[in-house]
Amino acid sequence: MRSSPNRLIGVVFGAVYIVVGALGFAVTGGVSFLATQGGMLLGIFMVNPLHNVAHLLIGAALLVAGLVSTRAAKATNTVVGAAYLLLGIVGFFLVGTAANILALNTFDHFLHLASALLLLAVGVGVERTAPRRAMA
Amino acid sequence: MLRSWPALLAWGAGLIHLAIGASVTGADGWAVVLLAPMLVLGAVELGWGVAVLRAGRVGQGRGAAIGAIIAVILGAGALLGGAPVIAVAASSGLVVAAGAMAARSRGEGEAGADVGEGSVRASRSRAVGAVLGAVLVAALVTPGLAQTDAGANGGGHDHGGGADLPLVDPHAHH
Repeated sequence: MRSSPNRLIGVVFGAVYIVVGALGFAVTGGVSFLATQGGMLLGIFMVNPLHNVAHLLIGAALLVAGLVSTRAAKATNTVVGAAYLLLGIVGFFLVGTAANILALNTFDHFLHLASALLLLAVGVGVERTAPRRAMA
Repeated sequence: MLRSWPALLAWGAGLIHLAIGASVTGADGWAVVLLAPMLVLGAVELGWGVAVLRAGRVGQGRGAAIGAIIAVILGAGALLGGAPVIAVAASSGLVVAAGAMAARSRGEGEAGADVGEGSVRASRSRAVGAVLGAVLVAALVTPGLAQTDAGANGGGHDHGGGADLPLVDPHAHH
């Protein structure tokens, strides 16, 4: 696994997002599920319960794919990266509106964009000749 | 290590250009003509980044450099259409850096390098480069995007005396 950047980054990011998702619940007590104004995680990232669930699901997907195979990690990194890229730019249109159901703020945008760029760069640009069979 | 950077820089510029172009929905007259090309430019930059990463090399370095110059000129035009200065400056910086790196690295590929231990080391090096590049580009793109209409008022374009949407302070606590 350590020889595959896609698997390595998938596992590391997956673990981090799971931790972030779990920690998020510590600051969103009393915050409604789709609140546009959430609690502040680490003092800078705004999250609500839906945002925490999204972090947990994305983290689990990245982690599992990273543990399974290079192909799975590469595909998951690319899909999650593309989704984050979309969220990174669409999120700016949502802030300040009732549609901001993930309680996004500027630091969230930064984290999403950085994650998107990294996951896409690794998913699209690294291990382009990844073996078709799973590498356990 | 920096092989992915031209693509990352182009993606960053593309995101800002798309956000600038999005303000065309609230623009009129000449502003539409000046801002609309930003949408095409942003899409081209995103597509170019994907193509470069998939190919593992910059195919047309000179073309990329010329494209960067065109992007800067279009950005200057967008300024006249009301695009925010910081967003245009950030996107211009990113696209010029992408063009310069592409021109410098033209013809450099990685064919034949993916063998054995050297391949593992090269992959790790590329991954580290991608991490650094992603953080740097995100740090430049976020304030640039925040200056666009999308970042400034959450899509509530107020050009031309349109109805204002109620703004919510994202830092307010209850």
